[in-house]
Amino acid sequence: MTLSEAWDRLFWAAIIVVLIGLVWIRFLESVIGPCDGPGLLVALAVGIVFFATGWRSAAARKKREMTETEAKDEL
Amino acid sequence: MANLADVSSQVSTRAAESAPPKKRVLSDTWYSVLLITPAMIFIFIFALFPLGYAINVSLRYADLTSPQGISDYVGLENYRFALNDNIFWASVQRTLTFGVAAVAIEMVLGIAIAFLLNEIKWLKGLARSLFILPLAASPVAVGLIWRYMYHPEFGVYNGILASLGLPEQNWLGSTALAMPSVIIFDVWQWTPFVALIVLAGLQALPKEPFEAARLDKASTWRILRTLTFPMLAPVLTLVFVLRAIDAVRLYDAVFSLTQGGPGQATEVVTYYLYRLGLRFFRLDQSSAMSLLFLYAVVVFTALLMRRFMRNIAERARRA
Amino acid sequence: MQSAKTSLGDVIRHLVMLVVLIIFLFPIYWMIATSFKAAPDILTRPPTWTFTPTLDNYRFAFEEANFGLYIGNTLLVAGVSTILVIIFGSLASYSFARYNPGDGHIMFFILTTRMMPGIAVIIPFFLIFREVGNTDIGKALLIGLDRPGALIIVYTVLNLPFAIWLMHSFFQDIPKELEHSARLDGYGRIQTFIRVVLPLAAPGIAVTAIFSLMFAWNEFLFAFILTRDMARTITVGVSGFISQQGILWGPLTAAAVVCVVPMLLFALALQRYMVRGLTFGAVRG
Repeated sequence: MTLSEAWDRLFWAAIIVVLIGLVWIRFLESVIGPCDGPGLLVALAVGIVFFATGWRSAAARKKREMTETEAKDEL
Repeated sequence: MANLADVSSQVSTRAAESAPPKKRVLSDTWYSVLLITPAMIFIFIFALFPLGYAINVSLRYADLTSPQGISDYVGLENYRFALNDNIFWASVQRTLTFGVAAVAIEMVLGIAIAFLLNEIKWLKGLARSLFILPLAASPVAVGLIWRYMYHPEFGVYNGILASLGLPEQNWLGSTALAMPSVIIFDVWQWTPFVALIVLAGLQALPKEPFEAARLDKASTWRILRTLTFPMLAPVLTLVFVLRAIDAVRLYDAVFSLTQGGPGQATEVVTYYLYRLGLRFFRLDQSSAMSLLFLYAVVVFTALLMRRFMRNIAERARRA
Repeated sequence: MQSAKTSLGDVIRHLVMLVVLIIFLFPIYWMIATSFKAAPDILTRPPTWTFTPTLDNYRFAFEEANFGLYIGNTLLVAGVSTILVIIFGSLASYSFARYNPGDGHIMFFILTTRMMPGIAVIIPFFLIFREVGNTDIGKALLIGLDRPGALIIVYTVLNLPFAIWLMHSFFQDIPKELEHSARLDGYGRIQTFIRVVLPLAAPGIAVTAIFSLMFAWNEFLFAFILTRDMARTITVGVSGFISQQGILWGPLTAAAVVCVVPMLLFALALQRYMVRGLTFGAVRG
């Protein structure tokens, strides 16, 4: 993953974390009462998962590309 | 060109200090980073520092009218308040109403005027220049002029209506008409923006496909639908995005025309934030709402501008 | 279109254009006309179209309401911030156009700072400048509430993103080959930038400078919140004719004319580049 791809992914991860946090406060808390600790954890967890999947798929893609170029070089 | 001279002297002193010409002390990458550093320091300090400050205040209790001023941390309490504040959501709704109405009217009128300008033969240049004028005027100054023109007794619009035998209107004073009046003002100021940019797009279109279509005896409507609009799409998207972002930030016009009134009929988000933060000095709540507003604008900008940004990056890479 | 002869359609098109132009220019005409009306002519019902012109409103604005000071403040703030914007902006913009550091992401980040709603960051600015204004550094550099330094900083930050993007499009128009041949002639990178690139980009830099000036001149929100009377700028001055006792329409229109007309002239001078400036350099116009 290049630095610029990582940054892009991080940016969207942050956007998603905040979104989940806001939805939590606005909708879930009105039902179950104030509890921001768990909400924060859930939001952060989703953000980390989102970032990690992006990281892994980028790594897999890079590996594939590298093997492809190696195959071409051998030809 | 005093500015140019400044630039040169600044660069040459830097050259003497850190990067003597001809000898490659710095790689291209570091050279490019060095060049953007002064601007980035400025932007970082003065854009991100206030942001950090706002986040900090939004997590505290901060009522400047109380003796403690900015006081203890209260967790996410202010966000909880903001998300459940009906006045805030009503103002968000007004901003959306304003934005959708104003931008839609401006796009339609602006595109129509652009086509008209593109077709006329005489005094095209003059008409085009005159259309620039509303854009250049300070929104607050012309907004106040419009407030005078909207005046129920001495205003020229009611004067014209009366001389045509039509009923006079209480433009800014009635709850029902105040928002449309603000929208009319915005349409006056920004329709030329759409018209000019779309006109530039129209004039940049290649001639050949249109000539071919005309030889094929394609109808005007068909040419518009299959050639003109698809080819104009990038320009139209850009104009739309720029106008939409600007409409959400509307403040000057509301300040000069109605101050949010009558009642709260024209109190858009920006004006509510101003009232809460700088009239009632509830810095905590207004900071939390400001950040929510900022978040919405950033997401909106990022979603709409992604392709635009990618094009720029592409172009830079090819150069 | 098909023939050189004037068709009925042409006549209709021109008539419509004329009507549209009159509608769009009328407020500007009415502003200028009102500024020359005597007080009784301004408050008539229905409004008068004919009147004996007088300069009383301008006299009042400059003599009683201190408008000269506001113009001076505006020129100082707009001028200094524009110089800073051009210095920092041209370096950064050239770097982005030639070397593309950050692969578009930094450029995009810069653009988003421009899209920030001013109201969302104004409270921190207000509090920070209030603090800084009480320190020795703040006093020496005139940074603080109701000091020109505060507005200079704010306008530089607000204009830098715009300037970087607009100049970016001008720098990209300069053929890279010219720089290559300069480098072959033995110029270093910095010499190339100063002797080859900057002169070629001069029109773009001038256009950017005028746009920055116009923005700073027309800005209201920050000027309104961060100044009181000493550092007041022209747009705030215009709104100052609204008071608890009522609105002084005559002097207000005169002040508005002084505020608006110079920018109209700038815009006319810039018209070739207007579209380019309005779209941050994205549409060449």
